[in-house]
Amino acid sequence: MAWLVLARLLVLAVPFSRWRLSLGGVECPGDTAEPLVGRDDAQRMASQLAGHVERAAWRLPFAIKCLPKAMALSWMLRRAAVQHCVVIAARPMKRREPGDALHAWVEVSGKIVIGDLPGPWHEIYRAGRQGVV
Amino acid sequence: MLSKLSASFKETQIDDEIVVMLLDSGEFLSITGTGCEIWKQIDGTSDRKALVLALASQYDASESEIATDVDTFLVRLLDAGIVAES
Repeated sequence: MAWLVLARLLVLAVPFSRWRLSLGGVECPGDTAEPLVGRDDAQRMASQLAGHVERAAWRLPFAIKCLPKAMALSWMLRRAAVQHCVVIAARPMKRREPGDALHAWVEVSGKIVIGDLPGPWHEIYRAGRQGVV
Repeated sequence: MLSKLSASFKETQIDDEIVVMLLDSGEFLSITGTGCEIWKQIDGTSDRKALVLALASQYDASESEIATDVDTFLVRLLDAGIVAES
């Protein structure tokens, strides 16, 4: 829960440049890396942690949007040494509704583990974290 | 010359829109219409005057009309720190 609160505060009050590297470099290792040993375990662990993040967000007295959730999960995956990517994307203008132009999610081995909303989404930013499973 | 500071932003084209994410602030710019043309022509080889001439020719409009739009848009890009003028 503390990670979520911290992430929300950062998004609200601190320029992106000050914390973006906490999500990893802009070259996401997941795109080109060889399949990881234990990929299923990594996805399972990530899904469990994503569940923790979602439940913690639900318990907080204020709304937590997709980016703080993705940030919190990314930090937790980093501590668990799980390779992952944080993706920020935009919806096509013609398909936008108020408040849903942008979205963020986390991928582990190409599978979205938090923030899996129906698209279409066009990726703008992808940050990755090398980890060991 | 006008050039993009590519390390300071990420962009993606979605249909007729270019969405630019500013890596410093985390803000997003939505560029549409003539803005897309101006954005595409900022390639490090053209200055403001060349941009105005090219767009005036492309849109069959007067240079003064185009110049106002270009200036307004360029100020936005320069302020955002994603374009530099040398």
